[in-house]
Amino acid sequence: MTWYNWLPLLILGTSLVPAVWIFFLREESYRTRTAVNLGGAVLKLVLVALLFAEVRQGHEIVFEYQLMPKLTMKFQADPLSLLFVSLSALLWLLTTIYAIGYLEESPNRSRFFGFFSLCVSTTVGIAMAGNLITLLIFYELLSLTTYPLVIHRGNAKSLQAGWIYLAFTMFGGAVLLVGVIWLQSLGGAIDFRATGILGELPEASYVRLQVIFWMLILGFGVKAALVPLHGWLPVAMVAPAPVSALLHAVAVVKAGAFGIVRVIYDVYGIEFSRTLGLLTPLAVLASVTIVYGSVRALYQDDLKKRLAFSTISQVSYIILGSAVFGPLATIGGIVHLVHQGVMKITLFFCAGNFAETLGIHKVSEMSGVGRRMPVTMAAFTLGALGMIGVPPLAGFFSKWYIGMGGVENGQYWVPGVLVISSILNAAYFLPILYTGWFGRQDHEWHGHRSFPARFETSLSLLAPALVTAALSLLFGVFAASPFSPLYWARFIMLGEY
Amino acid sequence: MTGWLLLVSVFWPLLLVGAMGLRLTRRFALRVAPWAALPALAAALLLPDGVAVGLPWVFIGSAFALDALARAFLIFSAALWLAAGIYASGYLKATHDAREISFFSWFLATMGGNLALIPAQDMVTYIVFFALMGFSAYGLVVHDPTSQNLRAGRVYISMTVLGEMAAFVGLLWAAYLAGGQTGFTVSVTALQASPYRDVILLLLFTGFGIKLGVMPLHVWLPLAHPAAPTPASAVLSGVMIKTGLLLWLRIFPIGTGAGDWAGVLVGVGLFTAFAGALIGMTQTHPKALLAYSSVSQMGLAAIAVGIGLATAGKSTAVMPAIALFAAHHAFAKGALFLGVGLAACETSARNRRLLAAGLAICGASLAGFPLTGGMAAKGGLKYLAAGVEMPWSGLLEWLLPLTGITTMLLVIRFLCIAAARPGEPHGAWNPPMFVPWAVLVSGVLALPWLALAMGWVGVKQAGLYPAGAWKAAWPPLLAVFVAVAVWNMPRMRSALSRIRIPTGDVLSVFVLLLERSLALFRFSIESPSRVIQGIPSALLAQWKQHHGTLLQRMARYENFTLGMLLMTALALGMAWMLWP
Repeated sequence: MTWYNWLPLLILGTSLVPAVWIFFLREESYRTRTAVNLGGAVLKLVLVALLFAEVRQGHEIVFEYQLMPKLTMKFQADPLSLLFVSLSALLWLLTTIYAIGYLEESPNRSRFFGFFSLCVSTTVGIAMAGNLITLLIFYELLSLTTYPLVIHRGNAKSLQAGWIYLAFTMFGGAVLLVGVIWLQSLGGAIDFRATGILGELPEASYVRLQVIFWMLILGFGVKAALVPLHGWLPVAMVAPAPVSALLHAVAVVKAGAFGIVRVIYDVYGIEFSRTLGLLTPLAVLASVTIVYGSVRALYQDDLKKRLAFSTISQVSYIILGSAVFGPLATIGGIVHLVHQGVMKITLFFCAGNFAETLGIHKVSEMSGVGRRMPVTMAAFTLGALGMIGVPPLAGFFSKWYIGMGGVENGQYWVPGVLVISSILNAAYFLPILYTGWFGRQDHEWHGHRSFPARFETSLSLLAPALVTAALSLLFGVFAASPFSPLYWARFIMLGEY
Repeated sequence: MTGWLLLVSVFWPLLLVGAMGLRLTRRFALRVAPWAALPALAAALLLPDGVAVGLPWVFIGSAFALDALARAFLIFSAALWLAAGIYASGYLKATHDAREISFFSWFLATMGGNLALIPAQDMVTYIVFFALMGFSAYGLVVHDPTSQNLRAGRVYISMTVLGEMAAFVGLLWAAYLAGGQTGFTVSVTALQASPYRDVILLLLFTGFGIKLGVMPLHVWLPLAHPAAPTPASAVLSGVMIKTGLLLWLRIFPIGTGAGDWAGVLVGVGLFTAFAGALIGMTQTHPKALLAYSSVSQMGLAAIAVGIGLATAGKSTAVMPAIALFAAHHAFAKGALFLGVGLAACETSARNRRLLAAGLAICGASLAGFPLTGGMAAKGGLKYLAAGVEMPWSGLLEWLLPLTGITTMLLVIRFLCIAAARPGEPHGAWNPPMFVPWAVLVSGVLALPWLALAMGWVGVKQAGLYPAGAWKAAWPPLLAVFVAVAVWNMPRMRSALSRIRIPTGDVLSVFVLLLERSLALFRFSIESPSRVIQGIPSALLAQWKQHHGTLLQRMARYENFTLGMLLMTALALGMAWMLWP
């Protein structure tokens, strides 16, 4: 075993060790906690870069450890896991910076950051899991580590949200567990491999494989907030802004979507999935979710709730792209994993900034906020336009490829769904932009605390939002460059067909 | 090197928007903002043929080139933007508008989008800047936030989004047919061979026809163009609508004898040309009337594209003729709009006479009066139409001159309204407003000779010979005769002046349909969602009733423990099932 095979474990450790360390820190040791947090995040980013370099040199990176017979813990660095792991490493760093600024002087910070780091560890575990069992374990752990974050505020509403969250995810987890074990009993160890591994099974087992597929989709679909399993997400937005940001952009929702992508591409294989006739129903389900989420978002006045419904809709783009057969749609779906992440995290950062700085929670209170906080509003604008799919922002290119994939596959309703969703996106995002930029202030704003006058809000709240907003623009403008997510998604696609 | 010069010159307005945002450079940016289109104009005039630059890393491979079409469009677009920019600096003073920074930021962003899309040689680059232009122009439309203008803004942005959507699907489909390539030349050929050609062309016709204002997609135009400050109205109506035309020219199979689509375009164009002019006559606001005139003129542009589609032989003559038509309309319509602002200024009687003369020239030119740019522009169309086999061609031959009559009537009506100086009076008449206007008027007069000298059109095409001049003269003269006759019949006059069609005509139908379908949509989505959401919460409530205290206690202290227990149970279960 060469040294680089330990890299996945090291990357896991860069957030696991800080997590444990932070739990033992006293509440007041602000500096140590910040140093440990940021140190871990930066180190993780460096290690991910190293991992990239090693994979680029053609090394196959696998770490295996047998827990018990037939139960192997396996981590691997394939193109898809690299995409997800680098997304989470980057956004974790930014969210940590944001959270440090956001939670300044609030109680229970050690508990918060401890679970925060744990949550990221589990996400990284999901990203690098090399077989279905490992993925399942970390997927379950994710539910448990995010629960304390959701109820962090500790009031009745948070606890209620926490219960709903647990109920949904535990149910999904249980179904997933049964599905995985059943699949294991049919096909042996389920290692992830591009183009899938189930294609060789005898035809007699096809019906069972179909049932198992839907069990797996049900299990992952809870976190991916597929309609009708989405009920927990709008409720969970009571969590603090950095948690919502992480929940909606990298950790929970994305883990569900990532799981579905894994199942389609690396367990069943896209071509075998088509043979089993699984893709079209899934694409229809995703489309229903896309339209449903957008329509529900239209009628929300609470800013974070509107964003939550928007997430329901946008995450299903990933699933839609993955469930439409053909390389173009695959590119669109996989790249949206990253694009949706940077855009949605920007929006939640900004929503948090409005809430912390001016006490704004509702869209109707936002009149004239563009004058008071132009930079935050500009970042929000980029994120929102990206969600609508205005070129050249990142979201446009996701839609471009998914739409082309639909045409390629003869599913002409796919561009239709994209159009309906984009119009609805415009209908619920553009009024926010109008209110923010063109409205006249008609509410007194009461921020939770005061900020130094140099910037419109504290720098650690402003900078992450700016960086992610810039990324949503740059990922689109330089979509064809070899450093873009689109380029990488194309590379992943090449392995799957 | 020259390629980069082209890029810098068309991106210059966008750089200035950036400079406007920084406190350090704001004063500089504000000072040069009126002149922001000058580099692009210089580039269009001075750069040699074949200037091209490829940016393979940008978007999904981006390319810019100054081909003949781009050069023609860039010349008149940059010229009108320049005129409007200089005019705006005087206009803001005359109207005592202190929101210079806001106005010029939107103005420059819109200009940047407009100028940058002209040399774009691929679909994605085109739609990127098309979107930038479309969304930024919203800021111009609602610059003066009266409730009427805000309504215009809503209509504008809705139609812009709808247009973007149709364009998006049309373009991605075309790109798919071209094997994912987005270059215009590649996709035109791929489109030609495809069985889905008609659907794609319909999508592109709709998506960009909204910008162009062909009926019935024009509903936003007569509302939005008058709502903007006058210099912005001039560019909205003068050049921005022609970005729709430019894309049609880029991607439609011009010169291939596509008779079916020629029929559609000529039919829609004829209807638009007449209906636009007739509805325009019922307007009372001079800018709304001019907007309808633009709709009507863009109907003619659609006819021109239709003829271009039907031609198989004279295809090289098509593009120059259409470009000349577009350039003429840009100058004439720009001058008319800018003149509305001048008419509201305090000034001497001599200046007023000068203004009236200039507006009359531009108006007559729109109707194709002899020795104006309009005659050359229309002459080019007639020349193209002659001898082209296509649907409507018999009708076209005698309907095309008739548009000269309706246009001239519209213009006469405009001159009457503009002379009455409605609306808020502006401040003093000033050179930054007058000079650009005067330059545009002289441009309208000089255009036919310029076109002739540059070899864009022949003598025959431009109709610059006695018989041709007479052919061009009779429709406007007939219109003048009709107008004088009506003026002298008081009963008829008052009956006609009572006809009022609300600005935006069929818009109310659109809105009604939209509202009904939205209500239906909401109902059909919300009722099942209430059921879906209702079941779990009802179950939860039931559960709470029975286990309330236990649940609350656990919620308070033991949430995490419970989760751990569950997890352990799951793990044990898993181990048990996996054990051989």
